[in-house]
Amino acid sequence: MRRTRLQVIAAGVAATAFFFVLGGPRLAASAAEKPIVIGASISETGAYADSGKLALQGYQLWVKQRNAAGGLLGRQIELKTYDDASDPATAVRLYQRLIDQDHVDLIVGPYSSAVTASVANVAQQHHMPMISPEVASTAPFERGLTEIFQGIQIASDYVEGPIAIAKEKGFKTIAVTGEDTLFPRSVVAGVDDLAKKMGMTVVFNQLYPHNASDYSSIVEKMKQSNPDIVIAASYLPDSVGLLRAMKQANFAPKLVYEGVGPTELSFGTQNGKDADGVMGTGNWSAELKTQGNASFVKAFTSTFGHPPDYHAAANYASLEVLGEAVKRVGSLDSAKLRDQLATLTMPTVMGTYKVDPKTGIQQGYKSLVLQWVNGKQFVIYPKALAQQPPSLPFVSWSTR
Amino acid sequence: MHAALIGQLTIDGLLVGGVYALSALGLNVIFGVMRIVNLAHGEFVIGAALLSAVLFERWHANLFVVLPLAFVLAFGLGALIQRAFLRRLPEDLASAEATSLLMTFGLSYFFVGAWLTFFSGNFRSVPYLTGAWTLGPFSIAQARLAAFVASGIIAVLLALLLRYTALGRSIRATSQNVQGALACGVDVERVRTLSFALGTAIAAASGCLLILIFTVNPETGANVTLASFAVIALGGLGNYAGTLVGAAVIGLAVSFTGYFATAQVAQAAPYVLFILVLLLRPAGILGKSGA
Repeated sequence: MRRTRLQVIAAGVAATAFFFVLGGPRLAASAAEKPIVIGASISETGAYADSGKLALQGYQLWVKQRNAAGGLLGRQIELKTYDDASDPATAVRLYQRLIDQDHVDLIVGPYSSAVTASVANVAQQHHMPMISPEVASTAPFERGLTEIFQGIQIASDYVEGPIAIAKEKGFKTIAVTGEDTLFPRSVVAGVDDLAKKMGMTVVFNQLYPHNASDYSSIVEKMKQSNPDIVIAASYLPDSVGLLRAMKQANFAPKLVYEGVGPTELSFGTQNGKDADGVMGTGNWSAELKTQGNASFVKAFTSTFGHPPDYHAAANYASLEVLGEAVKRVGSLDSAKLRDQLATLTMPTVMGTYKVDPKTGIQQGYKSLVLQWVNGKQFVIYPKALAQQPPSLPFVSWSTR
Repeated sequence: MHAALIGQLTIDGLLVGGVYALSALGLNVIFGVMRIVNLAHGEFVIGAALLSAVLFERWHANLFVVLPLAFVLAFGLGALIQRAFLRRLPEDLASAEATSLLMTFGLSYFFVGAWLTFFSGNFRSVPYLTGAWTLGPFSIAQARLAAFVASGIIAVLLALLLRYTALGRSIRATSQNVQGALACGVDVERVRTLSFALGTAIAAASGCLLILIFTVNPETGANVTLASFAVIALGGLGNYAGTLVGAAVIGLAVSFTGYFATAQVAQAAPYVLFILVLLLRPAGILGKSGA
């Protein structure tokens, strides 16, 4: 018994020594060309887990590709991420840790507007410029912060597309609905003025609460107002619920627009053939003819075994921008990088990156109106990027 | 036109009420026998709902396969929970009620976390029977009708079980008087286990039907629990026939307030009714006062 223990200890000492002998020189060698570390927190668990994972994979793919092509400034790149569990307070602590303890060289934004808004203060305090791909709200940019840059489209111009399309088709009356929370409310806020400008009338305007489960009553009310088009500022669950209630009430206006819900692929799986004809506003599409988009989609799909979504694309594009900024500056100097990110104009998979140098608000990326046709999403607006013209009117439920 | 509209709202309300009724029946069986206010009830409903959504996504699994499967799984899970946790609660009534409340509250958190892990936070629904039949001026949603009919069948089976089988007699005896049941040789522990298992299984069945109508994620279970409680409060705790009436009232209230007021009012309607009934008729609409 005693002998055995001695043997174990001896073996342990030998093994440790062995590792030191082997590993020592290697550690010393790698210190000379330490990788550039990019830090971020991502919601890998919690309410945003699914989208957060895709966002993270967008980052991962760019790092992988960049390293294969020789890295940045002749150094390899390492991505250091933590899980913030979709919680802003946790994310703030994690970014502090990334900067103070892990001494990362660069940071990039986390997932969701709320988390980004909190983390932006940390970036500001440490003078670390941060490009943020997951913040559609402009609120964090209106606080005089100088270190954050929006890597995705702003939310407020969403309804312009569907109303322009409706105007072109000669549709006159609009029923407006949406979830009664901050983002959808800001989306529909502009509808009244826009309709007036276009010579159209809003015949119904009422929102439904967050987490509503039964949409039959609100759909019945919309049906009674007999509109040409329905504009709903919806997320995924409510866009599915509304559409289903519309089918059940046999209510088929000439144009159906449902906010951001229809841009998610599971809108198609959850609605099957009923999704056909529904429009939504998206930030990106696999079919988009932006620079490098086709090869991005291919590489992403073969790396992760599933196609990317706009989260993945926006995160990938943000690292494209950061990489280009580092290349142009030629070092990791934060102040120079900040100025570069503020003034840089460059093509990415999302479109043309360009921000307002004062606020960091995105100006280059344009929202796209997507439409489901035969079980697939197509870009139908703006015309310059459209894959095909809008398919209208919305087909009545009984003739599908 | 107006009459047609009122008819349509009535149809919508009653059909949804059918699904509320089934979920509430499960809760009522558990309360009747065990005097346990099961705050984790909605989690069983949602768990089954998400399971059937996932099975549909993967293999287009039909409701007739998923519902019995969920029923059996939930029955086992319910029995396990009763054996492992609830049976160990203190016997004296006053503290038992408080502890059971805390315990089921804890269980509900556990299951929300478990479902988030299994099913992720995504909202899900099942694109099955999404159409509607037109009947004169009315449109009758296929999913709602199917859910209503299936709920009705399960409710009838439950009624037959309670009325005509030995187990049903034991359940009713235990609900009415534990001491009396014990004196007549009823194995009360076994009845409790089976009741909790049965209540959980019925919750799961209602979840499989609910997903035909609603879109849910793991965090919506509390809404289901609350709606089921509102139904039971209206119908009377432990009163099975009252549950059906309560469910119809809630369904109609939601449907009509949703149309004539706003969706926000409709969402509050079950709870306003719940409070009114507790204040004015604490034994439920059909209950005798002081019962």
